[in-house]
Amino acid sequence: MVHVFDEKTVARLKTLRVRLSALMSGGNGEGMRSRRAGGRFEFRDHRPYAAGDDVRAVDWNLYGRLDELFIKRFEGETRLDIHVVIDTSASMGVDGGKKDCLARRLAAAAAFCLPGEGRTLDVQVMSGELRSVATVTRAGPAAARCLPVLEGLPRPVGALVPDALRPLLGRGPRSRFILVISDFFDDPSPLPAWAGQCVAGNLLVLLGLTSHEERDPPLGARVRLQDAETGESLDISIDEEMRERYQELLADQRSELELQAARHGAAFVDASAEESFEEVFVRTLRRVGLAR
Amino acid sequence: MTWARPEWLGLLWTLPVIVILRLLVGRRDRRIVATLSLWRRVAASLPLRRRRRWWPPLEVVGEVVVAGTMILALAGPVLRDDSRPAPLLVVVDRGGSMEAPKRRAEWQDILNDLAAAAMAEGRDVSVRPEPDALEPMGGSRVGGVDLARRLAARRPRTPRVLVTDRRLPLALPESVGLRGVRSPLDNVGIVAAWLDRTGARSRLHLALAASREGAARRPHVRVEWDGGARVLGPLKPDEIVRVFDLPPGGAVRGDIRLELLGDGETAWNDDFPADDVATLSTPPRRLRFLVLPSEEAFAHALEALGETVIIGRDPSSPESTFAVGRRRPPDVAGALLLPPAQGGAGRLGDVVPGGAGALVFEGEGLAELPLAGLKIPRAREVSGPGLPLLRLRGKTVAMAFPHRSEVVLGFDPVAAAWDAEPVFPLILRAWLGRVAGKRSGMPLFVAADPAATRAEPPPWEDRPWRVAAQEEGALDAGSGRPLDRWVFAAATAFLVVFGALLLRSKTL
Repeated sequence: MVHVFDEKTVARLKTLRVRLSALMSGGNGEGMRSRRAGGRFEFRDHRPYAAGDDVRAVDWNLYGRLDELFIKRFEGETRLDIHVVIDTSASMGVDGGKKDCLARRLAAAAAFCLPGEGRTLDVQVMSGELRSVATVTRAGPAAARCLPVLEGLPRPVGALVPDALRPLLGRGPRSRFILVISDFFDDPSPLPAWAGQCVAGNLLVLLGLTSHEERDPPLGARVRLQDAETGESLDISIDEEMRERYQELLADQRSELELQAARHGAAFVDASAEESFEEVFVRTLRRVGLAR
Repeated sequence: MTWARPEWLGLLWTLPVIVILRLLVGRRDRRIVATLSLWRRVAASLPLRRRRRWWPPLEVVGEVVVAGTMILALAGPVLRDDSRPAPLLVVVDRGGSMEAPKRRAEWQDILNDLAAAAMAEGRDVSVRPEPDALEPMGGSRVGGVDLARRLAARRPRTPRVLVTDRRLPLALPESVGLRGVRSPLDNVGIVAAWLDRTGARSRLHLALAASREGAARRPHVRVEWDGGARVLGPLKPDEIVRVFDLPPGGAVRGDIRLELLGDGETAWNDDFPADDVATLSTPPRRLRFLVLPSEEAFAHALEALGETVIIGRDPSSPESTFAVGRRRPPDVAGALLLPPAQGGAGRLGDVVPGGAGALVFEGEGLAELPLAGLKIPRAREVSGPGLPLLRLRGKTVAMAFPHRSEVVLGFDPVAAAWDAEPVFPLILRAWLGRVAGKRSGMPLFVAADPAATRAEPPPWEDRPWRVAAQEEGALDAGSGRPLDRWVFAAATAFLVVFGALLLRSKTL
């Protein structure tokens, strides 16, 4: 059994919080504020447009006058809800459960680093229906109380229900920062539906995990592949040519996910299950502009 | 299609075992994956042969094919043209007397005649030597008759002819023809030799043969052995026995050499010098004789039986019997009791009037023994179950018959001086084989070195033999076209192909 949160991992979580506090204080901290437009937002200033910025935040009037792109920045008064959704379908448990382990550690990293200053973090699991397992209002040592909950999550079973995320994506009393951690191997992919359902003001970040075996499957003359969720099987011989073809399709699938996410104002981050959770977490925050 | 070594075909039963083992252990590598959708798209984008490059049953088929062809190759397949007549198999007796120049020329002519006849009928000819004829008595290998029977049983479609100069005691199977080699053989040679040791004294018994067509004078010979030499003669035309006293402690093993003396017009020729040498040796301990002291001479004569006999004594036995057994004392099964039975084994009848003579031995190798001059005083008729082993010629009076593990005689072989008869070892040998369950051949002479007559290998050994025939052309030895090389090549090719495919699939 994988011990997700041993002492060394907890120490790394604490260190990450300290490291991230510096990174996030110097970043464009507006990401941690409400993105919702409306009377309760006050314009603060502009900044130059940078690659990856949400085009909906571009001040098109200023562009018409100056012929340059600027992003409008607002001062949010409302609090931000952070939702970390862990895919606990059976596909996350293959290859030794490396993806599932990393997903739990990433959720813990978010719990250690993101709550506070009016931000609450809700950890939810998604296998079948969406279910909240822990709520964290303060970062730091207080977040450690959610670790036993994350440690005790049942091992991944079942299949992902695409509509499970719908309640979270809609309009709520506060803006939401929604981090979905999954392998996104579902076919058809629910990502376009999620991105489409995500209302303006909510930030949807999709963190796709893949294991080494999934990116570089071993060769085999007589292989019976079995789907972890459906139980269907496929007899196949995996040679070099077939593996290269598979890797091409996997790369295409990941690129398509990223494109679809960007098209709907969401962000897709591809990560390896063998990476450290700190590296993936920081890269994700940087990807959406929450950290330098 | 026939098989030169059909016993290898028995290995074909291993093929189902291979299949079963493959089914049990050759399962697929099972992997759990997050999704099959990508793999399905990969498989759909490639041809079927790429999806399953190594079809699992093909692996089993490959192994079965390779193993099967190997076994078939080992079995020696021979392709026959069924439209042609069956090949002729000629079995040539390689007995020493067949190497005599006159007889050698005769049987070679016979071979050529057979080959010519076979060619005229469109048959192939296969010549096979029978090497056992020169074995000394007691040789374990089968004789020519047994070989012919064996060939008749294994290859019934092939006509075969046995070429020999023997007077075969039994009729050959109907499927085996016989061409006799009957050229007169001028010969002086050693028929049998054995040692008689009584205390410190040793006596060398020799059975000599001297035969010549139209000979007016009888030959003299010089006999040498390790320890002495003596000139004998004139020899009678048929077998005689000469007994020599050996010095105390003299050699009991070594060569006995016989040299023909005389010259001029009346000098004898020896067409068959191979039997001028005999080798004496102490036989290994396999059979056990138990004899009483009064019958030592008779028992020692059994030494002439050769390599399978030793002599033992049982002084405690009160009966006037001696016995032959195999490894175990004669009081159990496997014994041979020779003197007139004292009851229990068979039934003794009346005394045969005038003494017995002109006996006929029944059984393999004995029917033609020259016993016309044998006299048996006070012989009595015996009776019992089974066929008699010895009877009077022209009469039904039985003189010996087997009873369980014994042979019951109607006379005393010691009193009849059978140990002095040259045929004595043959008789004993046959009867020993009868009660001990051991078959015996019919040797031409005793203890001659078989290799001595094989200095010149026959032309058919180790290479295809071509018979010079009257008609044009020649025939290769062999009864068909051997295919084992081709099948071996096919098996090797299968092995390479399937092995390469297997290696490629395993190293994907």
